[in-house]
Amino acid sequence: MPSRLSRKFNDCHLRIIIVGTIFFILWIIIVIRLAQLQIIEYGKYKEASQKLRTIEKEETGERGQIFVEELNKKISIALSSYHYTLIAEPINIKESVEAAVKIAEILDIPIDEENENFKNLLIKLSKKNSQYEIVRKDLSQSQVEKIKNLSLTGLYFEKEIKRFYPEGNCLSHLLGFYGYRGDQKVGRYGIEEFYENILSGKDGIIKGERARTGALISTIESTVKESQDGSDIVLTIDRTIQSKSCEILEESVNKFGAESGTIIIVNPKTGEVLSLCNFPGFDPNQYSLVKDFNLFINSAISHYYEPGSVFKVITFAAAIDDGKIKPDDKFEDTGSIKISGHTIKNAAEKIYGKVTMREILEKSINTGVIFIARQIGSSGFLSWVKKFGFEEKTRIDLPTETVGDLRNLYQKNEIYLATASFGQGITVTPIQMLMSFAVIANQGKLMKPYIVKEIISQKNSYLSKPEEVRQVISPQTSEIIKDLMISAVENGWGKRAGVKGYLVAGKTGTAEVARSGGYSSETIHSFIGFAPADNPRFVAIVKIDNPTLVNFSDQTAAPAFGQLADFILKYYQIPPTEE
Amino acid sequence: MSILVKRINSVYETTALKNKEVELHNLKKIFKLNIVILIFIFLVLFFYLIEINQVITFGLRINELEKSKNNLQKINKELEIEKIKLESLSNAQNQILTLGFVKVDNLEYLRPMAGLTLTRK
Repeated sequence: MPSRLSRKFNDCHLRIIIVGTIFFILWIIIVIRLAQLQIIEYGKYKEASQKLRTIEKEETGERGQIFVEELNKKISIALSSYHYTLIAEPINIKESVEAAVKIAEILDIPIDEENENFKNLLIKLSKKNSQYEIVRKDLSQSQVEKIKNLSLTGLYFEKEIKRFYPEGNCLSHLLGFYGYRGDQKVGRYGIEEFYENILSGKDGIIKGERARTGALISTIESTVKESQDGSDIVLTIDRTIQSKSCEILEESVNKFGAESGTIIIVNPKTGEVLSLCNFPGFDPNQYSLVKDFNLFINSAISHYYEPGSVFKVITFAAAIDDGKIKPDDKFEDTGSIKISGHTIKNAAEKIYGKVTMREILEKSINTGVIFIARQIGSSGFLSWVKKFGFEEKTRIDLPTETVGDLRNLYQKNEIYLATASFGQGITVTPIQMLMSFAVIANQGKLMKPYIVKEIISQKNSYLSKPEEVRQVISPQTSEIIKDLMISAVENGWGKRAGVKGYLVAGKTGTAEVARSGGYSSETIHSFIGFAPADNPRFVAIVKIDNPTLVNFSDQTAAPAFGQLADFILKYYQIPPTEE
Repeated sequence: MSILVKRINSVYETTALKNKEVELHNLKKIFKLNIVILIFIFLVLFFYLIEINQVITFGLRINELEKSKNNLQKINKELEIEKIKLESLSNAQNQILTLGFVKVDNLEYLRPMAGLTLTRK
């Protein structure tokens, strides 16, 4: 019989064993759990812990804005914004009808089974086998927030940066657009391409461990590369003049059954481009809808053409500056001239008889200009043409500028000198032609044209300065040519370019278009002029390509210039000087 | 002899008792100190918890405010675009037609008259 003491000992021993067993089991459980957490599910918890402890944030540097100035106020003409696309994974949507109703309310779609939009939405959300359905593009930020707050499963958003151009077609060739080159989004054409490096922002990244406040703990392993926004750009363009010139150009092209046209307006004293418009243009907001890529080409700087009679002004300027002719020198016109077996006639085969040099420009007499060019000689004429900036780029701050072609002038045959004297057989770009006329308006100085007035970065701003390329002709010669050009408007073919009460100087040009070895029936009409002639505030070229309803530029480009000049003179509030 | 031994034993016992009392007293002191230290540690831990809690709360609040700021910035951008749309010339053209404005025409500029001078009294 066990004693009382030994029973007590046995009881105690049993309790110890039970408690010990319980503790052992608990310990085993803890060990198993720890093994599960630390060995089996190691990856999962490591990832979760890293997510909690680390920050990895990519930041996008915003693309700079493009502005124009109006009454000392900057007005945006190109800016970036985020656009959201709602994407559905129907496979993960539990209640498609309920989701469709809630989304429709936010997207302002009438909740009606007969409504096409609602039906489409419902169909998209109900495609149970689908994993990717685009529900709606271009959602606003508030719509995105509202949909997020619904906490629906199977929905997410794709973010995209889009460029918005509030003026649409009007500035298309100047600005270009922001689009894809390969799989990268960059500025294409216009200012967007030329100033890509300045406009584009630099993306940044923040990577490392974070503190309890959510802030980054700065360690050797942490990466902080701050994003940098692109610089803003302010253009020299006057939005009102730009809009008006585009309106006049479109009207003229349509009115005369022409194919296309160009207007460029420059301040001759500085080279600031006030307007640059080609028709037809395109909407840079919807550039992807354009099927003919030629529409993207800025013909004002990229297309070269035979300028025709406007070039006579250059021949005159060269001869007067060389002292070969004076405005009142006489010339006997017989209506035609024979050179190297070719007969060159005046326009409409007219014979003018005895005329002065002034009348040669007023009446645009081909034979008279050939006589003048012969006074200068082939090599002299070529060097003058080059001095006026032809065969070189104007260095305007736009991409894809071309230089034209003067190859014929290098040949010894005199026929090329003769045809070039009235703007045939050589090619130039509209901007070159305009800048050569700006020489006459600006006391004989050739200026570099420019479009960007100011670049504003986050730290500094840079102002463009007018750049004189060279003195081409003397100020005295420029005054004489100005006087002759005023006569050409008042007494010659350019009458319709005149504005009552103002002195307008200019010259018409109707050029034949060369096609495979000969000249076709197609023509290019142009008028280049400036006003007020005694103190020019602007110089403009109006070029209309292949008008089919009229034959000469005095009926097409000249009146368009007159309309434009009238508007600009009123817009600048310049009082009339003439009765 | 036995009296002396008894006496010595008694003194020894008394001393031992006294020592034990001192020891007990010291133990009590140490115990009290430990309690104080423990309370202090608990208090520090408590304040630490409160602080941590507050810091985390602030962190969350900052995150929320940052999110809200970002959203407001995006909404602001949308409004800016709306404003720019309204300021565009094509919109102005529509407004001109709607409001019945007429084109500026027949401008007459004031010319200073010869021999006439304006004075201010």
